[in-house]
Amino acid sequence: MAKLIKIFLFFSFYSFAVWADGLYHKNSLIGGRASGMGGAYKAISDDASGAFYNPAGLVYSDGDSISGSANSYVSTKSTYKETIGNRDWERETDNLLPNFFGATKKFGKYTFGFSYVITDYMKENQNQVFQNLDELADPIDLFAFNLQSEDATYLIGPSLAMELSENLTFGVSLFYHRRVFRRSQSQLIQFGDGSDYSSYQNLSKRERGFHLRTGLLYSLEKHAFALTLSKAVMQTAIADSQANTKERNSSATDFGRRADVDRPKYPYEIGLGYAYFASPYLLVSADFDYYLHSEENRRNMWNAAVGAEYFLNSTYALRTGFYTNNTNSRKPSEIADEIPVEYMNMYGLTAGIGIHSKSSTISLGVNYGFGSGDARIYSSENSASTETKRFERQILGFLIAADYGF
Amino acid sequence: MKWLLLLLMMSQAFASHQQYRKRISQMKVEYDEADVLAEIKFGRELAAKILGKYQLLSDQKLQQYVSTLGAGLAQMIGRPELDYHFAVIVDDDINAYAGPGGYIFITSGAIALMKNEAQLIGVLAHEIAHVNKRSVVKKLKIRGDDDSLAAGLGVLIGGATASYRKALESALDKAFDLLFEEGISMKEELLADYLALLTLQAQGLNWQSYIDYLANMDKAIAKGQGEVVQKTHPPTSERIDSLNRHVKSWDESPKEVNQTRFKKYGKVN
Repeated sequence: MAKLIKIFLFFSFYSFAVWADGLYHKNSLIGGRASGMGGAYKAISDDASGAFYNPAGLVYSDGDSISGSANSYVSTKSTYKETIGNRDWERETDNLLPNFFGATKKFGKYTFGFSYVITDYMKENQNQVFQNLDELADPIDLFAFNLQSEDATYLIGPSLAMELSENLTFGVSLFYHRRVFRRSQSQLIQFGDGSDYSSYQNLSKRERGFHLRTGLLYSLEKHAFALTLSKAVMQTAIADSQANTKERNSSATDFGRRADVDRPKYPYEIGLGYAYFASPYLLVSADFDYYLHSEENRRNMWNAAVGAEYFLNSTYALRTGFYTNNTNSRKPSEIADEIPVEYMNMYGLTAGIGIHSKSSTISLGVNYGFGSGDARIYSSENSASTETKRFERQILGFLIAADYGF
Repeated sequence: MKWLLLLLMMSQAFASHQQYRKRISQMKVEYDEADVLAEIKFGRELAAKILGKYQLLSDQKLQQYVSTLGAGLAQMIGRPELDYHFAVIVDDDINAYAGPGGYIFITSGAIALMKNEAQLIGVLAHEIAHVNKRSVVKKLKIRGDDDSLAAGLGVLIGGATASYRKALESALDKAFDLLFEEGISMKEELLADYLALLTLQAQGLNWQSYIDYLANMDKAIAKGQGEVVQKTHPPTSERIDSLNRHVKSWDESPKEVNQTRFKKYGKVN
């Protein structure tokens, strides 16, 4: 019984957690071509998605004006091992959304852009019921919970890129940053002795601020080198929560409400990129990102990506990539009094095909992400538990994107 | 053999300092019938826009002379799928313009500065080189309708039909700016000069006279007769230096300049 109660607490405290929660910086790969190459795109960046990866690359966009859009379908499954009694707890979600639109236009040595990017998005709708948990010391007849949540981070704004010299370009994107988080959850437990527990919780959080992304791109024959620096600064961040709970041995329902202003400190992102344009058919690239965190319980961390593109002919191009999606969370053992704690580094493999015509390119891609780690999700009512559980996550995404050159 | 060499050299793409970034899909040079038709239509509209700004010279004898020379030249070094059109426009400014689809204009000021037919052929060959290289076409990405499956899917996904058409409309203004304000590219102008010299050499004409024409143009520019060419071309001294480097290893320039015929027909009235 005790363990199951801990799970309830886990849900209660798990307010802004899991997936789209700032623990990761590469939950979404942006752009058709870039995502096929694992997001290793900083030293390429020569289509509209360059506004996000490295605006300096927009100088090299092919044509006077280009635009691009991408739509993705992502399915995610997380499994927490032997978490509810001796049973696994699974969380599944799938989302279909347009995650990028951008356009650029050249004016002499200057290239202007405007883009809309969803860097992170997760929507959950779970209705789960566990019955006859007789293996627990305090048997439970029914454990049901419903969960509806949505967490999305949007960026929208202009970009400017320019040639500093024949081999050096500079670019900057200034995005308006908006994050919206909403979660409603209800739980009901009916114990074997006839008593029951129920709760309902509603949480919301809104962030507004600015996200600056700058970059340099240096070209030396067939080699290109990129340096980027990015930082998001929030102007407002309001969190609001409401909860009503009926304890097991009580007939009364308690109601509580809390509103907080807590501006998150997003990390400085320093990025390095390299691309080798081996021939008109073959291109390989690599990115490295380092994130400098100043928030408590977040650690400095890095991500890397490598990608390649090979043209079979002037119409079809194959793309592939590998990337890391490391967490910025500290290990459960390093954080004594916080619930929940997830520590898992993820890896991703991507593959895609580009179909080129005179005026447009269609990109189709698939992205498989995977990882496993430790999670501390149990808590006693008065203090954090040190017990951790293994958990694993798999992500399967499909993408279709179009780019136009005018 | 000379013509083969000439065509081979003219087929070389203008180099860009970031050329290596181009993927094979961006480098493909196949232009289908729809592309050529789009180029011709675009060129015709651009020509109309130019003739809205400048008057055609009323001297029919000179017009016919330039057209005949140009047509003959185009038969030898022009793109076979195009009908080239040559015309003299009234403007004291010294310049010549090459529009997509083979529409070539030369100013009366430029003709007046010329001393012989070799110089006129050099200038016409310079403009034909621009048409051959699709300088404006490539710069503005003028292509015919794209009825491929990929393009169709692209429209479905992104709904870009309207913006694509709008882009083509604005391209006309952009082309006008390219010819009269911004220029195509300094490197392409230098290459076109070189190809003009090759043409004269291949025809056994006095290529030195083209360099002399540029020198005379430089003096005329100093007197205010090169407002547009100054904006759209490299400094004339640079053009002359570039050509002199090319001809360093050449034999002495042939003597033939077709002076007699030019005196008869090439005078601006």
